[in-house]
Amino acid sequence: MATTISDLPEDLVTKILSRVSLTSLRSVRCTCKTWNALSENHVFGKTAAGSTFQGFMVIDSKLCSMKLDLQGTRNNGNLVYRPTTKRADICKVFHWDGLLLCVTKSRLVVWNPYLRQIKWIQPMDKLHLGDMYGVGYENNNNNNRNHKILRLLNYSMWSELGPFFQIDDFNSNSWRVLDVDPGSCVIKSGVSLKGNTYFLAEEETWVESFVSESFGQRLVLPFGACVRFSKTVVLSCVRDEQLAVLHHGKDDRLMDIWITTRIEPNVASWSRFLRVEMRPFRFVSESFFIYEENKLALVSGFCIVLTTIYKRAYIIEEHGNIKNVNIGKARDPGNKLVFSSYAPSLVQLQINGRGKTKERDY
Amino acid sequence: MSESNKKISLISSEGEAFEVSEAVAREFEIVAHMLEDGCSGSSIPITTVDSNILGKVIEYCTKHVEVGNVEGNSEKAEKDLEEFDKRFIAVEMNTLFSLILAANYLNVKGLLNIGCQKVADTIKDMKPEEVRSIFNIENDYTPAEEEVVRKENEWAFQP
Repeated sequence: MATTISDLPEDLVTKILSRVSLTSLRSVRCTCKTWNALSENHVFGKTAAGSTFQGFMVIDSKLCSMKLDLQGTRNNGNLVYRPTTKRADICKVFHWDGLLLCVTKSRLVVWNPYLRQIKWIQPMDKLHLGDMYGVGYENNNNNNRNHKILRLLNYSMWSELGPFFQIDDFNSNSWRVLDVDPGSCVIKSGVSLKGNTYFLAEEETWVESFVSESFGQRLVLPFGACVRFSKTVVLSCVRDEQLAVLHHGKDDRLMDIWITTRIEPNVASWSRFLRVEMRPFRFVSESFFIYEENKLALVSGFCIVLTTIYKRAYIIEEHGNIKNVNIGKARDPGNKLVFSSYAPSLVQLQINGRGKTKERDY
Repeated sequence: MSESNKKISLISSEGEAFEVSEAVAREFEIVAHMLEDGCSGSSIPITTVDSNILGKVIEYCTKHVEVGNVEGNSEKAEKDLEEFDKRFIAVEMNTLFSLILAANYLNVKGLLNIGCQKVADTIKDMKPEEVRSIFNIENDYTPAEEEVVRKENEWAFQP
């Protein structure tokens, strides 16, 4: 008798489906009830090689999934993206452990796109545009992850109050003010890696690591220049494994991207991923994303010509070749081309006693 | 050294004997365990695998043992092996699933991995209807249920 997929035990079907690319998840879920149920308890698409799905970004205040199409027109890249919901009030997005923290003007929302679960988070007080965020988790006694959101309120611009931190704990569902001192001025939202958050410090040549509710060791940056005296310094991560930093000198055209070869909360060693003489000279980078497999980086940012801001994105190859990326409508003013990486997870977003909130409620 | 020349017979479900070197037989982890557990017999019954599939699994293991034995494994050898795997796994769906079942039972990890990957690659870019038809899967959704799942996953990572 002919053998079919229905003759395979469940663990083999799971093994197969875990190798299906994330872009086929819809087809898998729609095929039959068994596969749909399996997809809720196992992460499919995680081990898929050459997955075309890459990450998220905010365009026109909408959260969009995005991928880079390398076979773009005239050998340039194409940035392909699609809004994930109809909501158009998203300002920023951060990724950690398969969750996305979306910041709107008045509230925070955490979304697990793989499980289609949503959790609204009411802030302690009014959100400000200048607020910075960090996201992370701690392993508790049962070896479960307790997810946290760190909000840095920087009132120093308009009051005597120094910057201070609030933390939202998923377990307690409430905000607390944290009595911590970064020791130097944090200038941008953090990048999440293995549950810890890494912030850039303005005056110095290091990264502040935030581990388990307090700042840890300072990690020395590889380019030896002070962040304040550089044209741009941007942090990113490679999978959930390595920290990456882009450095663009103030007076020269050289732009470097470094990736850690080892990163622990208290120690980091770096190796240079690429160096390029950046053109156009006016380009200021805002975000970048590393495609290790293709040995290239996608760098986004803007150019100011007279008083107009033009959004731009470039593919930079290992040997310093620069290609323009067609970014379509994302070039409109007001958009910030900031990429957020993504890897699916089964982190449940439980709302106090009310069970899961499904995406359609969002 | 002498052990690698030792021959072992693997007996298929139809009772057909396949004589292989011990090195090849050890690629079947289940056989390797039997040998370590002191099973000294020179013929081992593989009752759940038929001759056609057992022959193919042996072909796979033989090739991999051969390449593994070459000193200073070159890039070319690895490329050849990749090519071999690609050709080896380009079979009909029924055969593919039988190979996966056999590789799982006999615990031949490499074959299990390429088999699973081949099925996963086939699913890529297919509509649910196509997936059902190619894998002979019954649609157990009612039209209303299917619509709900479709709606819930409308966006689902498709930029």
